[in-house]
This record gives sequence, structure tokens and C-alpha cells, in this order.
Amino acid sequence: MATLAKAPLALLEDCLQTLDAVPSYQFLRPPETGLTMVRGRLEGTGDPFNLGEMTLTRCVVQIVQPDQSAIAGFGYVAGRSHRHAELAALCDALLQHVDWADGVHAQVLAPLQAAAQTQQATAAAQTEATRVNFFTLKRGES
Amino acid sequence: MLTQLPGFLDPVHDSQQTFRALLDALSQPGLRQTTVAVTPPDGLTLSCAAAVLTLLDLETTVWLQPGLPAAVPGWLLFHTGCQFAETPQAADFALIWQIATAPPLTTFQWGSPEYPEASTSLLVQLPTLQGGRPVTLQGPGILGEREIALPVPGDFWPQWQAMTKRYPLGVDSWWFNGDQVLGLPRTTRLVDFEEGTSA
Repeated sequence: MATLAKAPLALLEDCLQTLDAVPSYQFLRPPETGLTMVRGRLEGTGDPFNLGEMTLTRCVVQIVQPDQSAIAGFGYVAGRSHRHAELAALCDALLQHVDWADGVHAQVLAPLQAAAQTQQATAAAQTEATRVNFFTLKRGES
Repeated sequence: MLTQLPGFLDPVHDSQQTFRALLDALSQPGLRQTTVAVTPPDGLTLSCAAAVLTLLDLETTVWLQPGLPAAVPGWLLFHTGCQFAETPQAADFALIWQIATAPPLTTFQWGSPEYPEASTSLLVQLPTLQGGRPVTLQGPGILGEREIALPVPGDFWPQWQAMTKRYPLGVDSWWFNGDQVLGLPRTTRLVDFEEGTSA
């Protein structure tokens, strides 16, 4: 879910294009944008405190299978993109679908994870290039 | 249990229209209003489902009369995030699907003299909104008098009449059938009603 939520929308759309004939789905909860309180803990162990509010879009889609059992997929993404929340929810539902899980893993999740890793590596390399090392010289007073 | 039914198709406008209908129902007691269409889960009528989607949210508590199918709390929880009250006394709203076996009116929260609005609002489902013993209503929102004939048990109207004498304390109620809703606020009194008589 994190991979889907953090993926760039354009890339997610492209990956979904490679899947053929996605089963039809309907909204259990249409995409809606709201605010959520982000909470933090000092050093990860202290008391929780309210860090601030962030914009969030959520969506729940439902795929009804031929045997009438239903799969619900949840999508929660940062920002206000309804389409992104919808696609994230759709992928979450497909991942629970026996016929689709492998395809989505290979054609959607893998490229998205690779792209995220590449981007992280690039950012790390750029940061590394500007590294400044500070040295403390011993003063000759003593 | 995760629900399989959607809520309002157009949440903003549908809930605004339903809220308007519920408001009109209380401001013109005894007159029927129509709510918007929604796919209700088993155990809820259409208008009652639209009303609970409109009225309930994260901060409201609702008491469900025992005996409703498990799909109802699941559906309510998914679409409204409401909390469920253990007792009628602790609830902001009470959902009654069978008035014959409902607890007496005094078991619900009537509010306090300082905060009469902290009372329970009753959401009552009926198999029909007519055919019961006719009673004549009087009060704010009614020009002269208005007659209704809700199919309620014989001991209901004496309880209601006793409650109206405790104004401003009391409960407000909505009565649902199909896509129709009818309101009875605590200000509505019965005229020419003799206590102790029953249908």
C-alpha cells in the first residue's frame, strides 16, 4: 500500500495500462479529500503529540467476483488526487484477487518499487556529492 | 463485518437534501416528506438509511434496538464511523425497527433543563405510516390541528402526552416508511386525548 500511495501518478497509470482487461469495479466509498492529524513521538518512544494536519484522499473500491463474494480495496494517498486514490484502491483490490495478484505484483509493484529505489539512490548520490566533513583541530595550548 | 453496499452516490447533495427533508418533517409535524434514494442494507427502510447517513458521524452515538441484522452496524460503521451506545440513555440517536417491543419513552435521554438539546432523537421504522388509531396534533408548525394515524401500540400515545408536559425536556422523533418520513417533535401535543384510554 505504501508503494502504491507514494508512486507518481503518471507512472502508476502507465503500469496499469500494461494490465489487460481489469475487472469492473464500483465505489464503496467514492474518492474524498479531507484532513488527518499526523501524530509523532519524540525519539520514537516519548508521549505522542500532534505534529500537524495533512491533506489526504481516500477511496474504497469493490470488485464482485462471479461467485458473488466481494473484494474491497483501500486507497489512502497524500494530497488531493482523486484518481491516484482510486488507482491505489483498485491495485489493492487486485492484489487480493487470486487471478490478478501475480500480474499486479510483476507489472505494477515491481516497476514502482524499482523507480522508488532509483529515485532514492539518485537523491542519496546528490546529497553525497555535497558532503562537507568537519574536522576539529587540536589546539596547541596544552 | 465489512459492508458490501455503497452509501450516498452524491454525498454532498444527497445528504443536504435529506437533511432538508428531516428539518421540514420536524418543522411541520405530521406532514410526510420524501428523502433521496439510497441502497439500504437489509433491516433498514430507504428513508431511514438516508437519514442515518445524514445525521450520524464520528462524534454521535447511536443505540440500535436489538434484533437488527449484523449488516446494519457494519454498514453504519463503514459509512458514518458512528459509535454504538450500550444503553438508550447514553445515545444521541436511537434506531427502532419494531415499535411494539421498544423500551418505554422514559428510558431514553430527555436532556436536562440547562441542556434540553442533549436528548435522544428517535428514528422509528414502521411498516406503514397510516391505519392506526387517529390522533389530533397541535403545536408549533401546525396551523390549527392536524390528524395522523400511526400504527403504534396503545400505550404509546399516553407516554407521549405525559412527555409533552415535561417540556422543554423530552425526545424528538422521526417515523420512516419507504422513502417517506414524518416528524414528531417534543413540542407537538395531542388534543382531546384522554390519558389511560388505549386503542
